[in-house]
Amino acid sequence: MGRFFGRGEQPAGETAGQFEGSLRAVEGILAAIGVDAGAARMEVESGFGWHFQRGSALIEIYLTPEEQGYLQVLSPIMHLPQRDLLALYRRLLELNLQLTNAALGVHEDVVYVFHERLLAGLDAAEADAIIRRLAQYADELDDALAGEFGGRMYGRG
Amino acid sequence: MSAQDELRQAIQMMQSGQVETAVNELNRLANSPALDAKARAAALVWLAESRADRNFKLRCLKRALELDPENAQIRQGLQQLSAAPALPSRLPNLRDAQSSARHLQGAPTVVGIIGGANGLASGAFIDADGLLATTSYAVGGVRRVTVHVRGEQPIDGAVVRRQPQHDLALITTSIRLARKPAIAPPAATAHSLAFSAYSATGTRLRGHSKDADRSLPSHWLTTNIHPIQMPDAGGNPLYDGQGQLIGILTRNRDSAGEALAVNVARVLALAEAYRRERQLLPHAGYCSACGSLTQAGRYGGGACETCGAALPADTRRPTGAPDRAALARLYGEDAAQPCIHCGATVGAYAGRCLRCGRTTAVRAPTGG
Repeated sequence: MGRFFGRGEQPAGETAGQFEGSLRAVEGILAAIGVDAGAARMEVESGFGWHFQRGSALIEIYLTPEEQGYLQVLSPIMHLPQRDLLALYRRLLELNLQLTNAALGVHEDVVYVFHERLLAGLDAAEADAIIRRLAQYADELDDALAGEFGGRMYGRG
Repeated sequence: MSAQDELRQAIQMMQSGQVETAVNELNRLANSPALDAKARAAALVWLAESRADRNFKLRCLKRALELDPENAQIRQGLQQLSAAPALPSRLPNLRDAQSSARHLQGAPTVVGIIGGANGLASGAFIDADGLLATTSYAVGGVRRVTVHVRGEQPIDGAVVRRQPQHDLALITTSIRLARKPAIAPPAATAHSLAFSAYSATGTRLRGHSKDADRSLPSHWLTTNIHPIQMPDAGGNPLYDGQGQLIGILTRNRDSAGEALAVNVARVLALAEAYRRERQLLPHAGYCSACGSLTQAGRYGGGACETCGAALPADTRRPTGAPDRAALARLYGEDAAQPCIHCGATVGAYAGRCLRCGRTTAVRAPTGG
């Protein structure tokens, strides 16, 4: 597993201390929202990754040391349906304008809701807000989009 | 034996290559008053598969649709066939496609698939020509994988078709089997069926199917296996007590959080659709983003007509200007009346033009 959307090889600029601080912050936030960080951990090529279920949505979090260090929070929402793709793409672009600090995108045949920011300056309160907001978007949008366009929700029958 | 049993037997004969005998039976059953309209339609669909002749297939499918007008699969097959260009005089013979085939006496219980999107996965042969079934999740967007058959050197596998909506993928290999793998007749994949799920890691999980979840599409087989028990990315073949393939295990979950399998009927239907597509569209490429066949490259287009993803260079026509008219038809860009605001002929969704987004009186595109 691990769908971190990488940015290519760049020299690491974040100090180990800052990165460790972000790692502790994310694990603390996960604990605060009732997620066992140890059980949620997943293997990733570099940095750290976690995944957990929030409502009907699967949430994935990545901390990566690439460039200056990034936090990525994403949720695979649904598989692209067989019909009305152009209409769906347009709807995703319209929704993109309505989301705060999150974006919708398509990777292969899956629609994602996605957030990314540099680790520099990230504190626990902000990371908490990001994770909660994205989880809420994912939980709302998967039902709405799958209901309207008929695609299979990610990881479900 | 009831007429339904006779139909099942005829379908099994088709699947096992006894085409002549099967055709006689299917012809008889397609006109048999002992079968209801849907079953007679099924007989005609299988009859259509007995010959490469496009007109024959069209006649069979049209009759089938008359008998079962609500059947979306028949309708879709008929649309594909009607839209396809006339066949070349000689069809490519898939069986002879690879002269460097490796021959095996028996079908391996499970094969390993390496190089997919989610790590080691499993799969199973579903015909004697080396066609493998696994999950769409297992292969993701890759086009080539390495296939491990126990006791053999690793071989190259080409992902040729994916159906994300059913979480299925097909892989072609150079393996040829001396006989067809044992596959359960679709009707046998009933409820409360004990099975063994095999993984390429060597693990075997024993389980059973649960009562059908009526909220799920019928191709899903509910199991009592939890995804956490699965030692790989999925695609594990499920075998019944007689050693017949009954489905492919996926990492999708039902409402109880237990793993879903795709039943063998759906797997075989995809394989059949793939073979038909390859015969009808021998020059079509494969879009690894959505898993469908694409013709856009043939006309110089750079984007898949199904999902819009950029196509790799080797699926595109190498020289010459793009055939704009053919691409517009393929992409459905001239499928509707012009929008009264912007003039685009791309169509509308929910009463709004797909280009400019304004409420419009354009005619909604039909078909596709």
